[in-house]
Amino acid sequence: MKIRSDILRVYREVHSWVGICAGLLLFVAFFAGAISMFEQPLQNLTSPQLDMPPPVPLSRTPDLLEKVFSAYPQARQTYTILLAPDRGLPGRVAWPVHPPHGHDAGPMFVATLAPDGTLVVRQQAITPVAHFIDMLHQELGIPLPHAISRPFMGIIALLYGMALISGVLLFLPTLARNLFAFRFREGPRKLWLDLHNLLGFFSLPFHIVMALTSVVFAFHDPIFAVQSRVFGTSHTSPHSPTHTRPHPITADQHPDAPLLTPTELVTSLETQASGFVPTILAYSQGHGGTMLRVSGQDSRYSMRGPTAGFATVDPRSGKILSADYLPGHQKTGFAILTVFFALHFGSFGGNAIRWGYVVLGLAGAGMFYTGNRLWIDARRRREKAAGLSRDSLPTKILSRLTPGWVTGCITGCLVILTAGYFCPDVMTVALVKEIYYAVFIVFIAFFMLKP
Amino acid sequence: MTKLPQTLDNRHWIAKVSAAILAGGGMTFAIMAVLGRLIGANGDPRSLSAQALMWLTAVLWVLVLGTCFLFPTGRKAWAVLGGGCVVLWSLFLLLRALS
Repeated sequence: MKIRSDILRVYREVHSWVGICAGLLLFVAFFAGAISMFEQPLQNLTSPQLDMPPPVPLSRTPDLLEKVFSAYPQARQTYTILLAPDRGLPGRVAWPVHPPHGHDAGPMFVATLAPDGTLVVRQQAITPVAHFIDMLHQELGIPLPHAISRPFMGIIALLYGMALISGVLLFLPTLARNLFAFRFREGPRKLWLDLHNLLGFFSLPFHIVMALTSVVFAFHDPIFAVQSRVFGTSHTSPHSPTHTRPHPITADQHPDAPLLTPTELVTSLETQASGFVPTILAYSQGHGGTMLRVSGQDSRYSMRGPTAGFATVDPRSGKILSADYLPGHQKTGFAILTVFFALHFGSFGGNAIRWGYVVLGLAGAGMFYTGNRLWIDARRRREKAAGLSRDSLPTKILSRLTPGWVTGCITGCLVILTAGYFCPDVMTVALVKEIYYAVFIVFIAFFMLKP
Repeated sequence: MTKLPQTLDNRHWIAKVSAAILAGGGMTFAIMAVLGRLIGANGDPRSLSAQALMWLTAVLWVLVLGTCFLFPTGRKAWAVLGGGCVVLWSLFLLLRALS
């Protein structure tokens, strides 16, 4: 394929500048993202074992709930029944310690019954290591205030999108010749270039999905805000098709009818959505009475969340009220949109896909590293050709910052994971952060200052 | 202006990129608004139409950002993207007035 040489030159410049601005940040995003593919197992591994009896059988949950509500009346507002308790929440029922606001529920109380039937309640003791690495992934390893970190991530994602477009354009003319080239005997530049092209081209669909989803994660709120202004209340078009209306999530309310027991609910879900394995029943008091959101897995389909799909269920009849995010029961449009999310989170096809995503994520991180190496090499050659005997300052800084940043990030993550595994009890949010950034900065300083 | 066959360069990159971000952003939002008007979107984030339009906006914006360097000059980039922005928003206002 032939592309005009001036266009190639323009895009080579765009690619190298965009790459150098975003490369190191994207390295952290991909490395921490690869680790976060197993955030939940890692969280369990790095959390202290709570000292409490095993969860009561599901059939005894009503008894447990009654005791919880009489001892902790505030639990009625929001509580979850755990169908698959794990080390992080080793009981049958859990509820937030503080009234929840926003997505992050904060620490939870978790409860079960002792063999003699008395209530046992513990506060969840989760070591924040796995969550910290997930936040590194989301905030690109830069500890900015939350209000800035999202748009900052979005801008980097836009740069990443530009780097992908320009990179593909640059590779197209030599695609046929260089696709399987791997010239490791012709000097480091050819080696880094071939490696960069190989990683970039063969994981291109993965990178396109990551760039687009990250832009969406960063900017969906402003875009929805514009939509609600533009399509909002001012003129309601009389002929707006019904399928775009919001789904009325109201049950056929029989406020007096008792809630179904968890066992009955699970049976009811099994008949309505067989193959969907519910793991969490989340109850909350809303405008229309008690609401129930069921999370669960179905590895045959794409899931909307990182680890689960969701259904809104009538807690009194067990009827599924909204299947918009229920794997395998979504309407075509929602199913298509869910695929994008699932392709970001790797939440389809179970653990094999998760491991595949770890490999893809590490390969992506490797691609950003090779990109920086190429930039440094190209500048060195240009400076040598221009007669400079030593590296210019920017080249020198970047040639030292790159290995420092990369090794600092990798070592920092490994250190906090190890510390979380061996001494989970002392790891607080602040301490995890301090340890990671101390390691990170020490490595950068070492590479910057070494002779 | 030279009469040489036009070759592309990055001298106007600030103008081109700012055109893509501001005017191009405005234009993609206008495309979203016009399409949403035509399919009768209601702007509720839970609805399929709102989510599909949101994705479309993001994709278009990335594409505009990636291709803005192909404009011969920064002025041309602003003219095309800004013009598109004005025209499409006018179309949206017209559609809203007609309904």
